[in-house]
Amino acid sequence: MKISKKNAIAILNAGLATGADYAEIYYQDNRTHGYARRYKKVHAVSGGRTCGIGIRLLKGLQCVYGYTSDLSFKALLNLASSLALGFEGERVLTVENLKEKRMKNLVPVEIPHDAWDTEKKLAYLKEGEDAAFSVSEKIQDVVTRLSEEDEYVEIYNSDGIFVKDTRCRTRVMVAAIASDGKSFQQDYIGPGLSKGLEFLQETDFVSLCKEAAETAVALLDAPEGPSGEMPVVLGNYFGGVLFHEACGHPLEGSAISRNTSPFAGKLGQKIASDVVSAYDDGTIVNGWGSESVDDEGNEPTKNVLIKDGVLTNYMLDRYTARRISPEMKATGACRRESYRYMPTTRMTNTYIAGGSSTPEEIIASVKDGIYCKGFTGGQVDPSTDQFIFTSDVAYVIKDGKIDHLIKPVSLIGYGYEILPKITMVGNDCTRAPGVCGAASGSCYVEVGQPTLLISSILVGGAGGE
Amino acid sequence: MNINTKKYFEEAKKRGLEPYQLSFASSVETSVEVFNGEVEQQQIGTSFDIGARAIYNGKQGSFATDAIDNNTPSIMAENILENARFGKEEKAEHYFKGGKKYKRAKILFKEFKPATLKEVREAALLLCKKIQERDSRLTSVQVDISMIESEGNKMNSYGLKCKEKSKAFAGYMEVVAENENKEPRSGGARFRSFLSLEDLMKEADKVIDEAIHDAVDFFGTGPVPSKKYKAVLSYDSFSSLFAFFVGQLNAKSVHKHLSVFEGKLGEQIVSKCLTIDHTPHVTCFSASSFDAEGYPTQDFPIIKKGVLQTYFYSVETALEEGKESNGCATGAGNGGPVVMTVKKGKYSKEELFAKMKDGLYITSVSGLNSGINGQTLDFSLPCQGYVIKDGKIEKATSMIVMAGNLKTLFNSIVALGNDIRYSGGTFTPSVLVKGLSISGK
Repeated sequence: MKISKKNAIAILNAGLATGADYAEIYYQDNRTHGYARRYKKVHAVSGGRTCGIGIRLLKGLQCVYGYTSDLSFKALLNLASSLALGFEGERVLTVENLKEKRMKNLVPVEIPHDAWDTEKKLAYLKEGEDAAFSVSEKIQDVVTRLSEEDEYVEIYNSDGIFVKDTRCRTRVMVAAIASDGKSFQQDYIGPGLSKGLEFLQETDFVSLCKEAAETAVALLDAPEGPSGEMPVVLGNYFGGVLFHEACGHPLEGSAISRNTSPFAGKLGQKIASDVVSAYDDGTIVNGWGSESVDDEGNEPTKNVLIKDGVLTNYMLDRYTARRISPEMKATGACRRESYRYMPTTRMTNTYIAGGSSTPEEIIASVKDGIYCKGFTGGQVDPSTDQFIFTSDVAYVIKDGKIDHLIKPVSLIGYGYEILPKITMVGNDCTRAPGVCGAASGSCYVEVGQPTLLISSILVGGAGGE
Repeated sequence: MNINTKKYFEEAKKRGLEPYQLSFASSVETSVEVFNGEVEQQQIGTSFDIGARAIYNGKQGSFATDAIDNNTPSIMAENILENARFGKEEKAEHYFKGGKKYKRAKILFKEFKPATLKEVREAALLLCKKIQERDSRLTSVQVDISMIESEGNKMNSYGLKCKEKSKAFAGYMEVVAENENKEPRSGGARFRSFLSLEDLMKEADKVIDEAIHDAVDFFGTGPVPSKKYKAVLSYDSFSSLFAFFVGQLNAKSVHKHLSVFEGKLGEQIVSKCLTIDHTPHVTCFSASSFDAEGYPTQDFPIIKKGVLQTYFYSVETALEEGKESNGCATGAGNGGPVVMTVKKGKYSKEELFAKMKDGLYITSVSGLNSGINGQTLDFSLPCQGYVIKDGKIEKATSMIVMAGNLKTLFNSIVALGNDIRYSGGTFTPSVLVKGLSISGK
């Protein structure tokens, strides 16, 4: 324990002095290393450590949060006492003891980050860089990056629980930039998992770098995309950003508990077509969004959000659950970027489950439309459910066949309108890593889906109808 | 927090790290969030961050942390040394040696009137009540108010030493309204950089109606037909696009042949209507006396009547051209603006509408995190606004996407408004553009 049991109990009790009914201490020690090549040279080798404590107090539907990087007992006791002043009242709870709760390890690591030296890691990146440059003389620059993160977390709370977790993530990325002397185009690929360096061994980085370079060069000659409402086939892997934005965020506790989500109060109701079943699954071993314990000490769950088109559950943390009703329970998805952020419900590994159609059948079913294969990300307003996401690798479909590549296009709509328009779901579900920015900072999330067909969605290309 | 900076330099010197540059920053933040008249969240946070970079045998390493104790100076030096062994090739002359005069940015922290958590809480509750009373269609109102006090320091082994303090209140309001069909629409407004809660409340009061209009005006609205439109972009919309455009003026990108503006100095790159100055010392949230390298920030013209005057330099990129930095370093040799001011035009918003006659008034643009490519300047972004007919607002429109390339768009600006406002590091007016591709129905 980074804080002695005696001191942790004293800090929790200081926070509970004015009537808070829940107190929690979150300790984080996060170490990162970054290696980057750019301009055909080593661009940066850097490191960092984030270490501090956040204290959260709940009293009914009110919440007080404070953080500090001063880990002395005196500073933490002062912080807890100052936070307690956010409430007025008498003590209703005293912590007498803390007992460790052990969790199943969802992030087994085979090769720790310190098993390779810096030279070997930079050589790995260079091999990818060389492959990308070899694709075409039009490749102007290649950025390759390896990011490593090792995190240790401890949580102590007024339920008398102490829990610890070790987290590990590895990610590589390539961005290839092509130029024909008149304009630039680029493509980006960045896989990652909650694994150690075995992830690098399992990843064909050279092929990914070539693919990014080939796409960037091809985009130079691609015409503008079409505009207007049309059928769209969304590819698997990062195509899952559609569900993440259009449905995932509005199903998070913060929007649901405030009744500002179009899905609030709709449990048991049909919100999507019959072919849609969706999950937020924090239990996937080595998933990019997996952690053995969430940031308020709960065990992650495989949360069925939608089953055959019917809304079956929300994603909730302790605070948002109690805002809805005393019967609601946290779903093990309370997360935060660091101790400087108050935790709240966030997605973990969220995906639409596989269906029965093949990707070829789905594309063949479209007369005129587009096929979006690669994506850069998206955004949603959870209160209205209006979303946008952008496809940077997209093709026009003509008469059921992929016709030609187009420049990046954005797709927009209302999530609650789009979910019933998913008419075909493929059998090729895969998941991709992402970083999601919202109320509690930037969190690592996995998105996923099989290839699927949306019968009609607004496409914003510059090429006209 | 007081730190013994001498020890950091001693530990670095012992390991042959030379030059060694140290940056440290502290901040104290108090914030309150009120939702529908109830205090939901209160937050008090203190942070202290320290980072350093240094050269060892011609290569650079860096390390940053907020875990500060007696061992931090040696831990930092060890980590930097390890990272530098295979790090980026770097030259000592790329570290700023100091000795320049600083023009003080107008961050008037001495006049700052701090508030207690209770006072911040009461102000947020009062503002929430005011908003709720303004329109009966509001179903939810969120108000956030924060008080931030921060200090940033930079020093290096050449003797550079500079420091800047900042103290300000900032706030945000978000509303959701519903019509009789239970159709939700949201709106919001930011208001920041105030020296007292009283000043913040005065400004907040002015933008309540804007936030509510953002929501209620768009009930039952839909897209306009897909085609090219003349359009007035509000200062907010223009400012959010402009930030990406100037990213291409980074001298480092130019030197690496990665900028669309390479070789364009002295040439017209945007409409002749546009004159843009670098104004890092004006009173605003982003004002600063020095850049990421500790180099003094400066006033200078960026674009004069559409003609490019300069790029944004760091010490490294300036040296490559045999000149001095213009105080725009953002880190890793890159350059970018601190604060920009677009020279305002002579037209009121109504006059811009009259000049346009028929077209669109774009009031908000979203999806900037994915729908715009800073390298190619291609964009495809959802937006909303109003249809203008015969110079007057006819109706609101939503669920439309604007698409094109920023170079083309900024070349098609034909007039500027006189309604200059600060938004995201830039003071911008509304602008009238000739041709904007819109995807709608």
